[in-house]
Amino acid sequence: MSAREPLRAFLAEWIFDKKVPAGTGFLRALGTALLVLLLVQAATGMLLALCYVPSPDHAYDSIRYVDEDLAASVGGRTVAVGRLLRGVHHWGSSAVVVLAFLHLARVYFTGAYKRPRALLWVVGVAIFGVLLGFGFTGYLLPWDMKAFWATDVGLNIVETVPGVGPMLADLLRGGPELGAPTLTRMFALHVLFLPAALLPLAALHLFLVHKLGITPPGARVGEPEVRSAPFFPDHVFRELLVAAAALALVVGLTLWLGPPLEAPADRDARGYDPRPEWYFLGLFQLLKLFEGERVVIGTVWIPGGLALLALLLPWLDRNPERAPARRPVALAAGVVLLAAIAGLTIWGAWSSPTNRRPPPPRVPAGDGSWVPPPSPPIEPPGPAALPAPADGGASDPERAARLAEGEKLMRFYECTSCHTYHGKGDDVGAGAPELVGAAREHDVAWIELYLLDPQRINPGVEMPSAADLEMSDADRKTLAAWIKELAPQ
Amino acid sequence: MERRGFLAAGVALIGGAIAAGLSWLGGAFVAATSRWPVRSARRWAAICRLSDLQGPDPVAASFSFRRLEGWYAATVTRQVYVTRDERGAPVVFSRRCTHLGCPVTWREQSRTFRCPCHRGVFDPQGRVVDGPPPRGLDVLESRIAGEMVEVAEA
Repeated sequence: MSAREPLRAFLAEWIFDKKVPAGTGFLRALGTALLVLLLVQAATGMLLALCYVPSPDHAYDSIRYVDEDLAASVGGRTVAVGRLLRGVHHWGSSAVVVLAFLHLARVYFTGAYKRPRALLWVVGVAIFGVLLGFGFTGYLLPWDMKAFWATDVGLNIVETVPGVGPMLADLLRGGPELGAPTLTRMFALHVLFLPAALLPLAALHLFLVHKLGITPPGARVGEPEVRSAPFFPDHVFRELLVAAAALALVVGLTLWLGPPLEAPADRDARGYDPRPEWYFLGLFQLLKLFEGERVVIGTVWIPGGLALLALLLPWLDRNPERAPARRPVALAAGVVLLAAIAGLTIWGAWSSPTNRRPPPPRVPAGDGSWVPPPSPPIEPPGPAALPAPADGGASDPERAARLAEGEKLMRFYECTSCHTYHGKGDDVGAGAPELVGAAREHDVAWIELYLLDPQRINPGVEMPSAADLEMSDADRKTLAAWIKELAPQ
Repeated sequence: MERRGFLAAGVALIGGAIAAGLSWLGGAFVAATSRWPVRSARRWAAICRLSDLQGPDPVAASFSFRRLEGWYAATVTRQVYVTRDERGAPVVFSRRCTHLGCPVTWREQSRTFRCPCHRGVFDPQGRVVDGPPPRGLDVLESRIAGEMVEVAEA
């Protein structure tokens, strides 16, 4: 009897004897629903870790194994239990972002962040950041095309942060380019570092919610807060109902769309246009509004400024009113921001290409099992891949000098901002052709004309003209001859 | 009070449904990940010639095969002894001691298989003579194909 007292007291204080303000409705059930979804993410994530390898040589195979080889029998029917589990984890991450966003918006519009709940709000904003981190680190893990290229773009965004950007990007990537260390790092962040950050934040958040209680709807700051409605079972019922609805949606999306998986990550992805997960599309669209040097406005200043504003909100907003109708400025700002985020996200989704690359077929090994398809042959990059002239190149110093001169000009005009040169470029996947072999079917005069005014030959192409680049006629002729010489005859 | 009872039942029902669904999913997933992939066809590996089995002593042999361990294509090597049973038919013993899996070795002087770990002793036909092994040496499925002794990959 006495041994059970502390547990009873705890349950009474936290659940059974707890009171909430009258008028507490479904809008105030979002936080607990988010907690339930996070617990589901933790459980499904731990299970997925049973058969996931955070290394480029086996990550994709291990995901495919989960998707295609794990079955359970239910009443004589075969259920792809691996697909189901990974689908719940995948779509659950979307549900987490949606619920966290709705919860944040609810707290904003009902003024619940005001005194005495400033710390509760700040911890909540930090949790939102951690949750976005879970999303970003999570989708590299399948190591498919989308994973690789969307993460590459994301980390390049980090690079645009003034000053510390390149260093920060290298720290996250584990090197100057996305590769094997990045995958292992993202996995470690996803399953160890971020949970370690989330756990204390979530515990503090829950503790503060319990101590401070749910904000009575419409109460002004400083007014005594009256709690007369039962927490259990009334509010718990609402909370679980919202959680169950969200979970039903997650399972529905899983059954309908399954967990997505594209072809294995290919570092030479010409023509592939990467897009991030839908909840980052707004951010992605935002930075497309800014060009050149000013891209930092979209990548750093606007998102960073919003995060800072959010963290400082309880101190910036001194209005003691909580009812939305008595907070016209906050209400207007919130509506404008919501509309902007929604608009950018929809715009980003609208302009997303549908260029997903399906996984390759698995090759049956003849005994009911399968073997992974062979890796594509790797071409050695660099001068070794230059097409050798008939006499062997090394014996032709004039040709070598011409090639070097052309390459120098190519670097000067930064052709590899869009094109690849021996498979390497700043924006691999931009769609511009590989320079080696680009002119296979054209003569030098045609190439000279193309360089002069690409739009005249290929309307709508995004390549800058000679005038745009302030390219001299001499340079243009040299480059054209060089491109021709690069092409294998 | 009726409303309260109804809502409490609702809480138990929804909470229970979520917990049950998640538990089933987790349990089925763990069970599925704990099974080997099923092979539809049996493959045979040649391990020695029939003529190798003329002498009085078992012949040590090994064979390797590829198999899929979940997502990983592994090469597995098995150590065996090949001998003849009392009627002269080839028989293939696994070298894994049936006690705890240490490799047994043929001793010519005592004409026994001995396990180095816990002094398990087996006679030339693989029967337990002494020590802790609970049963005789495991026999691998084998067949004669022409001049060769073949063993089923497993």
